[in-house]
Amino acid sequence: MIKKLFGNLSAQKQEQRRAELYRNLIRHEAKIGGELFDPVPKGGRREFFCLDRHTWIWHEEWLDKTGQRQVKSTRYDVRPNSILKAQAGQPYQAVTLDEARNLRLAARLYKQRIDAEIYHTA
Amino acid sequence: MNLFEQLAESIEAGEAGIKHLLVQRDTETTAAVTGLEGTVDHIEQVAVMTAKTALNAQAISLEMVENTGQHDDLGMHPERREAEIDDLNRSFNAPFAPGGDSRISGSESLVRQETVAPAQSDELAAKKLSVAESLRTVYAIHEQTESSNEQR
Repeated sequence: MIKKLFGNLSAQKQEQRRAELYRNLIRHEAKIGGELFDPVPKGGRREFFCLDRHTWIWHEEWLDKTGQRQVKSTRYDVRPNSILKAQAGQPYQAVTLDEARNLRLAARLYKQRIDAEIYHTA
Repeated sequence: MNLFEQLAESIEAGEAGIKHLLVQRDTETTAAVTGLEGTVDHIEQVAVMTAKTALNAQAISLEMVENTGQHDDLGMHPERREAEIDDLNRSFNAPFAPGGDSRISGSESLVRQETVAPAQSDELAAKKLSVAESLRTVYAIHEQTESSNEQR
């Protein structure tokens, strides 16, 4: 009985560690993704990452002229025939051809960087 | 502890599934990029097809108007338009024969019946000429508008 209980706790702990590791993997990818383009302004933060195989996230934080922190998150839902973009307070909208091409370029660079820095070195 | 320290520790401790976790995430990001590539390719193909269809439609429309004389925006066939102007000119130039020209009907025949008095004949002739000229002007303006629209 006690052995079984310890066994369950150990399995739970392992599962928690795996979940935490998975989150950390994505956080690390997001940081790499944020470095793909222009330098991030002082006091700002940028993250770009693959949430799952159909979803990409762009998150940006910056300080405006008055020193107020501004936040903008964009979620791209990739469907077989279109890409839908969602931003806070705005309805879903299909991305333009140019924006789709930019997203594709960003995703390619992202994959190259994370492969080189995480998966193909581990 | 950063990601790599955490990974190293987990692998060192022989934790089950760590390698599997890395492979799983690698596979997921690969699939995400591949899916995105496919979708963008599709969007590009649709954009090209749409542009081609629009160009073809425009070319066909121009060809029909220029070569086959399709009806214009006033609902008038170009050949009929010319024929109408010719008719007006002919009827204006033709010598008047009471009851002679059965083709003239409606208001125009009324005009002809009223031309019995020679003094009024010149005035009516001038009016008809004016109508024919106005008609020419309307068509000329319409054609100019059409051609400037096409240029745009």
